Amino acid sequence: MPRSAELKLIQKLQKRVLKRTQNYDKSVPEQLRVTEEATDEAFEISRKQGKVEKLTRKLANKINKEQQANDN
Amino acid sequence: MKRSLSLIAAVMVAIGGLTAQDDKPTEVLVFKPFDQTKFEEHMKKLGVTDRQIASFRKNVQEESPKHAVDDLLLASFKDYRDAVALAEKDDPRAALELTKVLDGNKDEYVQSYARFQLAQFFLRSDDPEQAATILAEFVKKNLGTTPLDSEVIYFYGSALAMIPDRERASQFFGAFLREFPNAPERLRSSAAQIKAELEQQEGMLHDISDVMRFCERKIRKTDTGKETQDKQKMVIEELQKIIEMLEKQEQQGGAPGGPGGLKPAESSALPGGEATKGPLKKAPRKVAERWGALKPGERKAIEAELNGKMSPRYKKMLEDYYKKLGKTGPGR
Repeated sequence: MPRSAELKLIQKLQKRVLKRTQNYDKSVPEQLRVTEEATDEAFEISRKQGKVEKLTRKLANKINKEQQANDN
Repeated sequence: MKRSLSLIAAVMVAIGGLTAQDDKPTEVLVFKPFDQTKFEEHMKKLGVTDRQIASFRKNVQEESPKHAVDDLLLASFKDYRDAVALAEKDDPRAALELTKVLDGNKDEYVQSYARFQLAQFFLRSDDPEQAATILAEFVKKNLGTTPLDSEVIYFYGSALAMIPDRERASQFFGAFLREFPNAPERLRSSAAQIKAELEQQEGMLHDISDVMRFCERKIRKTDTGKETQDKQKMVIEELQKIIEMLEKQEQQGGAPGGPGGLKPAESSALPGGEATKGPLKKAPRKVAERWGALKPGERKAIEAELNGKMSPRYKKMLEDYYKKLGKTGPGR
């Protein structure tokens, strides 16, 4: 898969996480964010954000290795 | 014998928050071995008995200077002992009580140990920014006083890595490895491993990953407002720029990630420092859960203490800490 396609996938996932973050921010008032339901939902969105981060980090490491190999 | 270390320390930076990172002063850190005789004399002046000193010396031999000093301080200072007891139970009130020790107890050894304990407590509470602030204070005020120096430098590196502030974290891990060859092997191997990983993380995609991490922690703390969303949008825009750049290269038949590919740190629009805060691992929720378990009266008591006599700098730090903790803990 071309690198650009991999990054497009990551970008798509990031857009989804942004959307969920925006929905959460709109629909859960500040004073309700201490409830278990609200913290669980935030935790789930955070987990998704973490997954996108890991995918990006993995790709970054892969690219760096390739660049190092090319430089040598 | 004094050992010196040239290091862009940014020691004063974290005092009062990490936002001043751009104004890093260059500072030379000087590490001195722990002066046991001086400590014993100091404690004798405070009324420690010969028997306690003998027991302290035995502890130094059998366990470690770090633990021996701690034991003697715990035996001699009630405020420190009470605060540490709370910290050991991961009780949220520990942050307040340790800060009160910092604010009120002028003994330099107690100050050092209370700072170290507070930083560790913040790290356990998934709050590396506050931990870094306190460890920076330690480096500035307490270095060369206690046997804690090596661990302070290690944990400072860890806190910076968790934020993440890769460059400074790598510097502190480097300092730790260079200056403390006799530090525990588990810390040395961990420092070497994290340092190597941090140094591999160069380029725009790693910068983007750092911002994602920042967002991850913000969202986990239910902080989904404008700042978090702006960062997420910025990530999407930066990814778009890289995608377009790669597509051009691919059309021209260039090697993916080839020359100029993903290296251009200087051309990245992503902000450094403040923008790149985030965790390395899943947050420990223990302290936050205990915050939820506190009775309303106990939480009110903490709030009342914060409004009492406390230096403004620590007051702000604790307000931020409890605010975040209140959000992550179950039901208030």
